[in-house]
Amino acid sequence: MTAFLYRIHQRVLASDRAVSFLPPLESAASPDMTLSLTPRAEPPGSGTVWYRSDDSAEATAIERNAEGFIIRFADRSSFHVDEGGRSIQLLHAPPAYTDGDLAAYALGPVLAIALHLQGSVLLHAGAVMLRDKAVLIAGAGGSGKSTTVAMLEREGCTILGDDLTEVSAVPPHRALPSSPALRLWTDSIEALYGDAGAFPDRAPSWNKKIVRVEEREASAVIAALLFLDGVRGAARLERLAPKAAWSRLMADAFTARLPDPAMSRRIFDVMASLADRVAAYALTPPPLEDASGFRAWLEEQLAEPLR
Amino acid sequence: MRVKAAPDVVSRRVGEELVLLDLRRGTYFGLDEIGSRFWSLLGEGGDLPSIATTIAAEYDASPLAIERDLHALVEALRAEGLVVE
Repeated sequence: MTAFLYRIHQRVLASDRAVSFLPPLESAASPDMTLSLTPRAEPPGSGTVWYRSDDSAEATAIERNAEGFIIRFADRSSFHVDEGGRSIQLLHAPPAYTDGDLAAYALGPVLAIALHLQGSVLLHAGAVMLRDKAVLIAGAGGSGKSTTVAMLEREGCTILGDDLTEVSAVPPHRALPSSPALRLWTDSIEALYGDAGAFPDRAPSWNKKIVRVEEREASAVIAALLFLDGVRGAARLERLAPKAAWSRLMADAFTARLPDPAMSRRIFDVMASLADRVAAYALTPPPLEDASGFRAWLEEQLAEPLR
Repeated sequence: MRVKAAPDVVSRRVGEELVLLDLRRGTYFGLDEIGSRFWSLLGEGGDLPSIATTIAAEYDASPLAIERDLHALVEALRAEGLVVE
């Protein structure tokens, strides 16, 4: 198979199709993971439900089979991930989906499951460097994580990731870099970077663009957890009690329930430890047109945890 | 009524409170301060009236009011499968 090599979440990924939103690796490297976006017939023996995110028709379901796991999404796309989370294989996709759409799927929610199968713990959060520490920006899809990360990037902050952040299991918890790219809505790009036409599409059918940012290779100690509620206005930071932070972390980790006991326990332990040790806040970011000075304001507000 | 923590339920302290995970079902639950104290005393083998008496003394509250609150908590925990009789 022709392999395109990328670095994502500190792993070398070999893909059988080009992934437009990742910069290609320039030197040859032995892959840690593989991605195939060429559909393959379903492996036999599927059917045992291993995990179901909730009881609705929109739920994500994961089935167990002899070779690993089949992940089925509500839009009828499905992927296979091997037992150890090292190989992601497209099984089926709706006909209208492009390679870009599929890569965005595979390297988003499917990759998160694969990395959990590898033994990692991930948060649905972006991560930025403030002073020499990592600050995580968490929230549900559409709450403004990438845009808030981009506002700080425009003010000179180094970015670890914009949507999914791996955290180390042992305290002091560290955030690991994910990929050197921000995925932004066109209007956010125009407000922060100017002409959106200068930036590549995330995928042809998505109204999102890719902004490549400087790659950081080192992890950093997490100094604060910031939670977004999808609201912008006068910039505001409100301290959260540890248990409130824990509830939000758990809600973001998996929707309604957790998967098998070993993975559940690992996620539960890390979320509890993070909420117990790391200062957490509800953040109302300023409107995009008031991005100037946001970094300085945040550094001042977080002076104590950043010390 | 004598209840105990269901098997496969683990707890962790977060701040001053406890959070619970049912490993079998993958469900999780956060306890408030009184609930956290209840869970700790439950782990020491106490029954509901004796736990209510202990907590009432610690919080200078009426044992009957505490016992009533604990009954409601036990029902919520039972519904989540986190305690069994």
